This record gives sequence, C-alpha cells and structure tokens, in this order.
Amino acid sequence: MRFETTQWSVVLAAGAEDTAVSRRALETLCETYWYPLYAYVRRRGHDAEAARDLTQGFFAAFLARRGFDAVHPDRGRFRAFLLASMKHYLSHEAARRHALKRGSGIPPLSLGIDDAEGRYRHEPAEPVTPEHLFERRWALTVIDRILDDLRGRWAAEDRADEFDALKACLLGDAPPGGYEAVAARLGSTPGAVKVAVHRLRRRFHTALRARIAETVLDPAEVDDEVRYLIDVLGR
Amino acid sequence: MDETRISARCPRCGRLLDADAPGGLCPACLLAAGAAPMLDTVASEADTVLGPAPGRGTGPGSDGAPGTGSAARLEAGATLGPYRIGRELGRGGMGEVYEAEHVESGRRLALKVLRDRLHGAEDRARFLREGQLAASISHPHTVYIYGSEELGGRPVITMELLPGGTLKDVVADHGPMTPAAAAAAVLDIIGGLDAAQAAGVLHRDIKPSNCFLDADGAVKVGDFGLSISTLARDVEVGADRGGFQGTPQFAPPEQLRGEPLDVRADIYAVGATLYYLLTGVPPFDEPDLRALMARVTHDEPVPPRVRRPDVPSALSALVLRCLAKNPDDRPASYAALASALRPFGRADVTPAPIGLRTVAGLADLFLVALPMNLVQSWGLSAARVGDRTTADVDPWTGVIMFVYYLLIEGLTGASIGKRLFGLRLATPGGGRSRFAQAAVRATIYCTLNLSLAAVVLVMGERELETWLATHPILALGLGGLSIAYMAALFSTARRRNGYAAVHDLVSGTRVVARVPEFNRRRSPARASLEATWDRTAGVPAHCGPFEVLGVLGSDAEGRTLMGFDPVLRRRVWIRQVPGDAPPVAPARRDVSRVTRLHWLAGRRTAGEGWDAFEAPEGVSFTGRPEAHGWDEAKGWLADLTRELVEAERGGTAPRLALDRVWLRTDGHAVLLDFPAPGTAPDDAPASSGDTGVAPAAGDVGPAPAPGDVSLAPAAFLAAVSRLVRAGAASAGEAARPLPLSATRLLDRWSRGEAGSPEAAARDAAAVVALPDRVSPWRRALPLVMASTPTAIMIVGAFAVLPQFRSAMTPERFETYRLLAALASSEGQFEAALDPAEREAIATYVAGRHRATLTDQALWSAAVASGNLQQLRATATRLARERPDVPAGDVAAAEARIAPRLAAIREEYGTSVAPRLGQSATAIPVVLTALGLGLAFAGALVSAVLVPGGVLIRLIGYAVVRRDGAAIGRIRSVLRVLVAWSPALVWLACALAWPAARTIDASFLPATLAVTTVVVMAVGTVGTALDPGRGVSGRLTGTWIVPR
Repeated sequence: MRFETTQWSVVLAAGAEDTAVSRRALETLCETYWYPLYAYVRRRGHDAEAARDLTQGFFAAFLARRGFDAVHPDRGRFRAFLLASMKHYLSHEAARRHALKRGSGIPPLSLGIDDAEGRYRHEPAEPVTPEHLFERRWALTVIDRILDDLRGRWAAEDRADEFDALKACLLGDAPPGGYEAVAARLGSTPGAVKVAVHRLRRRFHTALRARIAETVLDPAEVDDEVRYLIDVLGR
Repeated sequence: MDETRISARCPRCGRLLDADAPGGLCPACLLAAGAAPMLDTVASEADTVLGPAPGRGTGPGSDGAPGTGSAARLEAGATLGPYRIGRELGRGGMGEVYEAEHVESGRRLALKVLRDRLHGAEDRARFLREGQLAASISHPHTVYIYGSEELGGRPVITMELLPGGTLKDVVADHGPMTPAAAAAAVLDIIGGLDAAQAAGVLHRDIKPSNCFLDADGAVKVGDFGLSISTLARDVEVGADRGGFQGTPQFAPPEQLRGEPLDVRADIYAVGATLYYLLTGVPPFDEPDLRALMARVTHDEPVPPRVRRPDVPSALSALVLRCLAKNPDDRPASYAALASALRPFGRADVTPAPIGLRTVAGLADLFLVALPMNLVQSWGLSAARVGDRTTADVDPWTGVIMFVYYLLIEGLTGASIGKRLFGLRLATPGGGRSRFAQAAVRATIYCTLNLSLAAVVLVMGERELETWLATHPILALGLGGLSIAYMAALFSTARRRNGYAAVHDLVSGTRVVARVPEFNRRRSPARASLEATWDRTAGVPAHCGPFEVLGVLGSDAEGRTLMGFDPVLRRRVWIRQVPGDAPPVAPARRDVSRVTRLHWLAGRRTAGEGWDAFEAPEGVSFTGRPEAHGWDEAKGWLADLTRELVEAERGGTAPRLALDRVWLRTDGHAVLLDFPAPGTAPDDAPASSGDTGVAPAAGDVGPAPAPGDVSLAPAAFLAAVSRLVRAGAASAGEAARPLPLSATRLLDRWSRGEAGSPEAAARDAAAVVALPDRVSPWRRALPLVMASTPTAIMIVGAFAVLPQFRSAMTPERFETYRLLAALASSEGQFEAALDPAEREAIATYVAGRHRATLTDQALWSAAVASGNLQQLRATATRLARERPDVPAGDVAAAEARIAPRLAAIREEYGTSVAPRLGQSATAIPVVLTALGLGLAFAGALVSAVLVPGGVLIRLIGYAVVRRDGAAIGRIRSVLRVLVAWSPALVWLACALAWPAARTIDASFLPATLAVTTVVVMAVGTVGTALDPGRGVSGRLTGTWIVPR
C-alpha cells in the first residue's frame, strides 16, 4: 500500500530507533510541506534570500532534531508541530545557524527551493497573518499532492483525459455538461462514466484520509484535522 | 496539472476561487467532499444511493460523526451520517438547524439535530413528534419535512432548505418592514397556520425567527418544535409538562400561565410577530423573565402607531386586537384575521376601470343631488317662485358634493358610490390614503363647482342669473364646461398608470378595486385510493425505510406503490423503476412547489430502483367523477400554468398528460411525474382524443396511449380546458355560465391557442382575479338610478292631478276668460272692446278674483300651460294697479258685464265641465307615457350600441347565452323588449284605445296603468334579487356574468 501511515511523532521522539526507513519517511514529509514554511518565513518579513537560508537551515536542524527539546507535539499534529518548531528555530536563529555551520554530516534535503520565490509572489496580498498563510498553504499542499498523485495513477493507466474530465465530480456533482456529454467526449457510455466517477471519488477519499493520517498521531484525529483545514480554507 | 477551466466562484459554496485552487476546484469543498464517508462501501461500484435514507441508523459512515463525541454543536464541514454540515441556520427549542448536503446526491437541505444533552427517551419522542406533526402539513407557506432519521445516535429531521433567512433577520438587517410588506408576510404566515389548523396542529411558538423566507421572498412557517396536535388521531399528544413553553415575548398570557390553548393563542403570536415586523421590537420586552411575564399578563402594549406614525391606524388597531389579553377579544379565526389584514397587503387591489368609476361617480351625484333637488323643489323653490329665469344657477349642490367627498373619502377612504361598486382610494403602492390626500383630490375634482360658488358669493346669485340670462351662450357654455372639465381631468388616465386622472396624480392617490378574495375550496378527501390498492401482486414489503402497502397502478415506465413512512407516520407514493433508470435530476429533487410532489428519497441499485414522493390527499383530474364549479377550476388553471412556467424555467418539466394531473383536497392542482394513482393505463379521459391535438396543426389525431405521449404545453392546456368546460357544463341546471373572459379563455385554449406558458399564466391569473358572480348591489344600483327619473316623472304627473283640477274651477275659468279678454284688448284687437267695458272687466276681476290673481302657486305650477303664462303679466299688473277695489264698484262692474259673465258660465257648463275629467287626466297619462317612452328608447339605443346594454358594460358585466358566449344585437334588443313589455302593452293600449288614456273615467284603465308600473317595479326588484338572471334573462335565455 502506497499510503502507508508513518507515525512521524514516533520517528521524532524515538531517536534511538532512527532507522533509515523512518528517517526517509520524515524527510519525505518535510519535502512535501516545506513551501508552507517558506511562505510563513517570507510573510514574517524576511527577504527571499534570508527566507531561503532560514528554511533550508530549519529543515537541516529539524531532521537532526537538534535544539527542539522545548517543542512538544500539539495534539499530535505534524502541521502544528512543524510550525511551532519553526517559530522556535527563528527565535534562536543565530545559535542554530552557528551550530549548523559546525556541521553534522547530515545531507541537506532536496527542497527544490529555487522557484520558491516565484510561487510566493502569487500568494494573496491581503494582510493575512504568517500563521494563517502557513496553514492555508498547508491545506492547499495536501490537496495538490493528492490530485497530483491521483492524476499520476490515472495517467499510468493511460486515462489522464478521463481524470481531467471527471475531477470536478470530486465536489459531489455530476460532471459539467452531464454524464452523456462526458461519455461522448471520452468515447464511453454514461454508465461507465458513472462508475469511473464513483471510483475516482473513492480513491480521492482514501487518499485524503491517508495523507492526513500521515500528519496526525491518532487515526481518530483525521476528521478533526480535515475539519480544521476546511475551516482554514474557508476563512 | 492542466487547468482547463478556472471558474471565478465555486458552484457549491459560492466562494471566490483563487488562481491556485487545486485543479481549479474549490479546495474547501473538495476537502469536505473527500472527507465525507462513502455510504456504500459495501455495495458494488455501480450502486448509487440518491437520497436520505431515513431510519438507517448508524451506518458505516457515521463513525466519524462528531455527534458521537463530546462536541455539542456541529462545525461546518463536519459530517453526520450521509450529510455534510454547512453553516448553522438557527437554534430551536430542541436543537440546532444546519444547512446540510447529502454528500452522494448533492441534495441540499436543512437538518435539524436534537440537542446533544437532550437524549432522554421523552426528549427524543418530542423531537420526533415535531417531525410527525410538521410532516402532516403540506402547504406553500409551511416548511416541508422530507424525512426523519437517526444518525450517530442522534435523531435528525430533514427539511426544505430556505435560503432567505428568517423574518427576524430581515428586520435586523433592514429595519422594520413597511406596513404593506409586513401585512403580506403575515398573510403568508396565516396561510401556513391555517393549513396547520386544518391538519389539526397548533404551532404554539410563532415568532419572526420561526418564519423563513424562500428564494422568491414568500414566507414559510417552520419549527413546529412546540406544536401539539389538536386531534387525538395519529400523534400521541402526551401530557404537557405544565408550566410555560414558548417564547415569552411572543406568547399570549394564557400560554405564560400554562393554561390550555386554542387557535387564538397562535393568533396572539401572529399579532406579536406583526407588531415586531412593523416596529422592530416585540410588544413587550424585559430582561428579567418574571418581569416580562408580569407585563405580558397585565400591561397594554404601546400601539404600533405610537412607535411608528406611518402605520395606518386601522392596522395598528388590528394588531392590538390580536394582542388582547382575553382570547375572546381577538379575531376568532385565521379567515377573519386574513380578511381584516388583506386591505393592508399589496396584492389586494387592481386599478379601477374608468367605466366603474363613472358609474360610481354618478351614484355619488345621484345620492347627493337627488335629496338636494327634493329639498329645493319642496322648500327653496317656494321661496323663489316668480324668479324663474332661463339661467338657473345652482352652486350649492356642487359645494355639498365637495364637502361629501372631503369628509367621506377623507375619513373612510371611499365615497358611498365607490363603496357600492367595490372601489376605494389607495396610494399608488396600494396602501391607505390619508385625509390630506383626499382633501386635495376633492378640491381638484370640485374646483369648477367651488369656483361657481365663489362667483355667486361675490356677485350674488340673482345678479349672476340675470347676467347669464342676457348671455344665453354663456349659460349653455356653463353646462359644457363641466363636461369638458371632467374630460380634462381624466385625460391622463392610462392603463399603465392605473387609470390615474389629474386629481389622482396630484394627490398621489389611485382609485382601486378590490380583487375578490380567492379562497380555494377545501374538499373532503373523497375517492379513497384504498379501494384500488392491489396487495396480491408481488410487491416488496419495504422500499428503503418505507413500508409498502400495495400497488396503485402500473404503466410503461414502472409501478406506483402506496408506501408508508413509519417514523413520520404519513403515506408516500413510491415509483418503482428499473435499477438502471436514470436518477431523478437534482433540479427536480429540489423543487418545492405546491404544484409538484416533493421528492423524498430514492435509490438505484442493480436490483432495485425507486423514488419516494409525498402523497397528497386528493383525486386524479381525469378520474374525478363529479362536476366541478368554475370557482374550483380557475385555481387549477392558475396552478398548472404557473407550474408550466416554473418547470420550463428550472428545467424540471415533466411529461405532460391529462392523467398526470392530481387535484389536492386543498384545491391545488399538481403536475405529477407519473400517471396519477388510481388511473388505469387505459383509463383515458372522455376527451382522450383531444390529447393528440398538435398546437400548430390543431387537428385531432388518433389518441396515443397515455403515458407514451408528452403534450406540448398548449396542447396540454387545450385538453385541460376541454375537461374544465365539460365539468362546468355538467354542473347541473343551477350552474350559471362562466364569466365571459373565462369562457373566451377556455375557448381559445381549447383550440390549442394558449400561447407560451408565460402568456397562459398571465391570462389565467387575470381570470382568477375576476369575481365569479354578479353582485346584487352592483347590478341593482344602476337599475335604480336609471329608473328613478322615469319614476319621478310618473309620480310627479299623478301628484299634479289635483292641482290641475283646482286650476279649472268655474271661478278660475271666469278669471282666465276675463283676463284673456283684457290681454287681447291690449294688443292688436284693441278695438274689439270698448274702454268702458274694459274698465268694468278690470274692476270686476281685480275686486272679485284678487285671490286668484295673487295665487303665485297657481301661476308658477307645473300644470300652468303656456296660454296661462301669457295671462300672468296681465294678472300681475292688474293686482298691482288696483290694490283696493271698493265693493260697490265691483257690483257695478258685474252688472255692466253681466251678459259676458253669463256667456262664460254657459260655456263652462256646456263645453268645459264635461271634458274636464278627460283632459285633466290626459296630462299625467301623457307624462307617464313620455317618461316610459324615453326610458325605453334609451334602453333600446343602449342595447343596440352595446349588446347587453351600455350600463351593464360600464359596471364590468356582460350578457351571455347559456353556452357562455356574449349575446348579439338581436337578442340584446329582445331582452329590452321583454323587460319593457308591460310598459309597451300599456302604451299600445293608450294609443289604440282613447278610454285607456284616462285615469279616473273608469276603473279598468287606471288599473291598467297602475299594473304596468307595479309589474315594472317588481321586475326591477326581481332583477336585483336575482342579479345573474332577472325576469328578462329567464324569458330570453340569457345570463349576466362578470366580463
């Protein structure tokens, strides 16, 4: 199963069991959610150059789990923990940088941070707080990743057209133009399209829960987290 | 990721989408949809559950429901069973109401969830009782209940989602409402509550926050959380806990005291709601509950008019009447309250047609001028005898007209004439006019009269008359001037400005006619469908949550089952369709109109396909056995045409066929989505051949099997019209023809010429707004007005008879003859009389006949002929020149002219006296004949000009044949001949038989004349009592109907 749930907090907390697998899982999480943090740092007032350095430095330190003893997981949310850690990092920025310079042998993350500033320029200009921007970005990242992933799976079956035609159905509606029109476009039948829509919805549902489950401590918290993110997006 | 299309707004939540919305989709909605549990994880992928599944309990999806956790309230985006929760809409006594969406089907509805802490068995029972009570009502002005179910251990009620908020929101956002808007809103509430009362439900918690607005702004009553059944039938009422339940600001004193309640408690709450809508505050408000209760029980509320002066005083009084402490002092029923409130609402009036205004104006003139003239002729004229001139100026009637209009219209809003014809003054918006406005109107309307009075005051009446007498052209112009002035006043009247004349425009008023109240007739449930249930056929025991009672019918598309919702305890119709049939379209699912069935739930799986609809009591249109009246049928036409328009607009048009029309017991017609239960497939209506009428070709083709054909709207209306006409025609001998416009409408529609649904709906609405029946008052008053001049003439003619006799006594004959001799001697025949004899005659007449000479009543009497008038100057001069004649001179003069006197007496005895009776009676007979003849000629001309008569046309009526068509000129003339036949017989007798011209020569002619008048009077009274027919109508086979 692709969406294997990794108990990120376990990885973080149990330094002794730092296996290659769990470390890799944590790195993947960090790679996924680095941009929301970058946006947060930029919105705090740092320029592009500084934000880039700070974000890189933070993740290096975070993965090395150095200097974050004072930060505790909040209700088991990775999102909240990451943000709290970043705040902690920024407030002790100088010391952290100094420590980093001494080097720890940890390889840097491949964050693809070069186009970060290009993305940041498209962030809404309205005066939202850095925290809100972070959370909003986080939620959008979750969705982006799921859609990317689903599209990849459809493309692997050579059905990318179908995905693009039907993704609007993920909102719960019939496809724009109706089943018949879509079926005609895809060279399929309305019945088959309905089945495909149903399959897509189910996959999305599963993927969403898995994605969220990665970032919470307890599977029972998935609903809470989703609700929170919906709320963030709705603000 | 390719972004094929980025819409500016999310189609679901309406939020603006950012450019980076993932996949161009609203991220919040995407997350919410994705997070919703998949209901059918156990079913195959092809399965789709389309609707709420009442009674499914804790399904696989409810594990994530926060209701199972500690959260008392649901957050937006949370899921509860198959629903995704949206924003909170409000909180009732027992729970919160949320906007919600059935995730799988996308159906949006309102979800009422029992408050978390109320989970005792009693609370749950009460909560479900609300659902049951509310579900027993289906009315355009009550919130419709879809179903009741239990999710995550919490009972919920699903109901119609009303996007417009509540009346409380309206007042909070926009301040108090205008009196017209408030009255209209409360009339909606009353409609809903009346339906609730008919279903045996007392609401007990009416308040602005329980009154919801739909997208069109109509108000619906909701939250039956405190309702109780007044019937002990289907829902256990349960012992009330005693003490107070409700909202104290809006509850009546008896409710605060925990006493038994009846409909008048709801009427109090309606009054309190109206108070709030008008003023923005409840009648009583206190932060402390105990103080509030004390005030509600003991204090009188501040009148709404005091808080807000533009509230009409009558409306303010009505509100206070609803708020009376004693239930006996409140309006006794919703019907009474509604009819008192309706004049303040907006849709109550229509511009008054000019014809009706003219007749009303004439009636006012008649009412004021007739007494004035009577007073003048008996009182004033006596004082003015001898002053008659050709220019008789009467300014005072005009002044009194002004005072009459000023007082009556200023104080009551309608003159007597207007009131008799159902008209009144209103503001252009339909509200009540004020005194100042009526004063402005009256002043402009009577300007000419008032000016004349002013001139008279300045010049003096006699001087003006004298002056006018020397300028006869001006005197004639004076009459023409008032006609020209009226024409000028009404020159601005157009249909589009509500026929506003100048005085209407300047004063900001309009004359409006009441739209007759259209109350749909509630018929008792008649043909019960139970007889038609077929329980033997292989039917499932259940369809989803519904129990199946039997088969109602089947057709090419599927079967109709009678089902029962065991939770809400109401019947439902279940349409069984193949499992692969397309699901009901979302637009159709969300339809909430009285003219369509509410869709409740549905399912499509491989082996099962069904949709559940509400099952209103009633009867199918084609299966309706008994005849119906037009008063019922016009409501159906309005319903069906309006529904055609709405269905076309919303893309929810069903297949149209006669056997898919259902008539609810509350008088509404419903367009069904399937053949009406109780109609067999071959149970085609008598007019089934008509169903094939193509609107363009108009030819009657072979009837396709019902169920296979969908008629075009015009063809559908053609078939409906024919059935309506057939039903109205078979309504029995007592039935009168339909109003003329209704006949014309049905004829046109029957030919397939209904036009577009919009046009048909407009036409139907116009016909509904017409009165069904002829009003006796409206019919009788013009009759009385028209016959009064003739009657006065006849009565007057008989009244002068004794006067005429007294004018021709032997003494007077002598006087006339002598005066004539004197008069002729003054002229060209001077030589005929020698001066001595002339002097003797003058002396004799002045002395002996002084009383006659100075008898002004005699000289100015109506019977005084032209010859007599010529003698008048001589008589006057004689009386003046010889004021005192000694008796001796008189005797000498008498002796001098003795031969002449003897000759005169002899002439009187031989020729005058015998003829006297005859000629004296001839005058009243001639006058009577003249009066009748003129009136008859007028009626004849009017009947030829406008078939049926001008007067009938002016008052908005028409004369029709039995089949409803307007009569032609020939029958119109025939009606006049029949109506006037007694008079014609008498006139013919009088012409042919000289003896008939006398009154007192013999008994028979007198009897004949009197009989004629009596018969005519009886005919007139009979017509007034039987305004639709009258005597002449019966004899000529014609009816009078509203146009």
